[in-house]
Amino acid sequence: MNNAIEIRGLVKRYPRFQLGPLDLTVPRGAIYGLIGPNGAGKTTAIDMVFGMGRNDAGQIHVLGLDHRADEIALKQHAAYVGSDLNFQVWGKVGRAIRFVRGFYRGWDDACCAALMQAFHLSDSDRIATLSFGARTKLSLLLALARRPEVLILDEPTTGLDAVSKQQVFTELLKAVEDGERTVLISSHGLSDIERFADHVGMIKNGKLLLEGRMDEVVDRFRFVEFFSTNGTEFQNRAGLIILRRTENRWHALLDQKSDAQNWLQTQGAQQISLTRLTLEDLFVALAREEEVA
Amino acid sequence: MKRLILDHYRRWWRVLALGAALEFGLGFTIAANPEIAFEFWAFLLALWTGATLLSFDLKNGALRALAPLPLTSRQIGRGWWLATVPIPAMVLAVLLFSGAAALCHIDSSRVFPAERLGMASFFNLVWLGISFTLIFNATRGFSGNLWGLIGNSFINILTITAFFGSMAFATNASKSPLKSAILLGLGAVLTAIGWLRAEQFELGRAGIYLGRAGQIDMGRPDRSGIHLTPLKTKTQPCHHVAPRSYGGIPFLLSSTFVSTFLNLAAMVALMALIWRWQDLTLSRSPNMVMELVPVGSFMCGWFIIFFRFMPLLRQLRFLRTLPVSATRLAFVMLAIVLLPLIAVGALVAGVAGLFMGTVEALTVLNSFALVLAQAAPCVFFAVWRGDRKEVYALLLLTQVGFLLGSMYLQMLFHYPEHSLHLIGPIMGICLPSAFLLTRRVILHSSRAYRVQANACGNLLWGAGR
Repeated sequence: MNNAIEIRGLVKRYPRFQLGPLDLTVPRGAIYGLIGPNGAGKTTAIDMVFGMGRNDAGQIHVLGLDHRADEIALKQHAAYVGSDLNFQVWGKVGRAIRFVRGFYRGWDDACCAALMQAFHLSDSDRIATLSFGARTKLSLLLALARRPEVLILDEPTTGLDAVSKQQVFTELLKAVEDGERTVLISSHGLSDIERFADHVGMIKNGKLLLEGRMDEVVDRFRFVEFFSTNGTEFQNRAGLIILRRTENRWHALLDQKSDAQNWLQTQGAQQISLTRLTLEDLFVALAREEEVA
Repeated sequence: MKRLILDHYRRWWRVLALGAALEFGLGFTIAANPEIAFEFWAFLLALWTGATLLSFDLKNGALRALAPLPLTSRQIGRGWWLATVPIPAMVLAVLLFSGAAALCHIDSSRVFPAERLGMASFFNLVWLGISFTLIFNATRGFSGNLWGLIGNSFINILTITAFFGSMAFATNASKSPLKSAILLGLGAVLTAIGWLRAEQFELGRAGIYLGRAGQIDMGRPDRSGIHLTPLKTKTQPCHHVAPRSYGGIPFLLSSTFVSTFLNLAAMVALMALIWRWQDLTLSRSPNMVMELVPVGSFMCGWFIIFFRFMPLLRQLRFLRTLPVSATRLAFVMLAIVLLPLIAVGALVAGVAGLFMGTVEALTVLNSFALVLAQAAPCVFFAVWRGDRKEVYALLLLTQVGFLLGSMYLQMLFHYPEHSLHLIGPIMGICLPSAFLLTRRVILHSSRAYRVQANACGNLLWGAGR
């Protein structure tokens, strides 16, 4: 079994939104960045993994465990981190640790102590007085100290300053350095994802737009600039998304795996120039596609 | 300030309109049935037209939104005090009198209960004032100096005592005028303290509603000018001792049980002391047991749902990510509410059995059994809909509905009190169905887990996708 997370044909319907059908594959040992605009369905997909709502169709397997039939076993091996978790009811950090520790036989006290040191947390710290960043760190600590095989993070760095963000990613990288642990991270911090993740999936309007190794995905697409003097009105087609036009000058996003470049030449496009793009450029171009169209 | 007051009414007009209609109906009913005590309902209406609404705004980060507006802290405090204490008190009084006047106008043989309505209006004012003080006192912060902590805690204890005391004395205020006057006087003092708190309101100290429990350092101007100084790094020693005792669900249940049980026991003891002071000693009349015990058990159910369970509900998302099955989680949700109620019911029944007899002990047990039956569906509603305004209304309706429904069935079957014949089947239906429904919601509902941080950094329900 080479995949840590396999989502097949996942569908969740809401009155005004439908997630899926969604297929998503996270290889074992990968750091997988799940990106998408607000309201794309990232949190819904993650929630389904942990049984927070029931999917209308499809299957989810984590380490080969079915998310419904093997719910407890799945949660023993997978941990969730989100800035939306609330631990205030436990009052103090030490009590929250005591509560969570009770669920996991493999709880690593040494790791917990090391993380507390790294995150500047103490047992006696009152959770209500912790800053937003410190609460996120506590959430990460509670997830990492149980030594999960799969770590799922939903917007963990939202609202964190640069130093805290770096601390979070340092600990994440430490956690996966043995190559056995898998991280699925949903984030709007595209530069962070590009830097830390080795796989990426982009989701929009509940559908997966693209998925693959980070370098392959980024390398596959190019900004294309060309001129047209014969009056051709270029439209979106497979492998080509028109971004903007200034008189005869056209800007578009081009999929190098398609025949779009040849097609442009046959349509009389001149001075075609290709430029590399970043993940953020790609994200913005794909996210804006519908508005432009 | 005028805009602040109008904004409060504009946002809460549906609740206030409903409260106004009910208050009018209450005046009408008091005039129609002068022999029945309706003051408890007046208390409920006053509670939901005053600072309780403000507490929702504060919890949802209203203060954070108001802070950058061109308003002084004093204007904010004063505006809220006016909007939640004197104005609703006056309107409620007018409506109460109008309701009674309407009946007397229709049926001229009725006696206009001016004295009773006047007393009810005074109590309304006091309840509104006390609830404002209780809620607004939290804006002073509790992590300042020792004297501040002691002062705030003392005011809170006085406020809670005055709350329960005035609720108990409102029913028969004319029978003990001196004690009622003392309680009204205490209420008036607390109302004045609320006004002072509003006048002295400092945004910088309201850390609890700005996202921090402590006081926020707003900074002081440096006379010597601005200097570039290195940022201080956090050098707090990190202390961690690996816990050796149990954790997990048993820890959650035991810790919530102990604190809730102690709170409930203190509340019951306070009510017993107030009744004792009111000369409503239970041993003097068996009927008194039937009258007072349902009120006490109802208040216990009220407290545990609104002040213990609802805050805990915000942890549901986290609890669902832990290796706990939906069945077990549903059981835990119910147990958090039901176990302390069972324990307090057993304690009070034991005391009643020792000092009064088996019959009275059974009355207590039956009354608490009814509260268990009404608390169970409340757990389901709360898990189903989350920590939203409409849920509070639904919970209130459920609790009041159970109280009225059981009274109706009692009359229908000619039972002198809540008997096991009546409550047994209700419990038999409510507890298992609440468990099954809660389990279903935990499994199927996405809404139950949708949380997001508000402007305060606290968690709200109902995030996006």
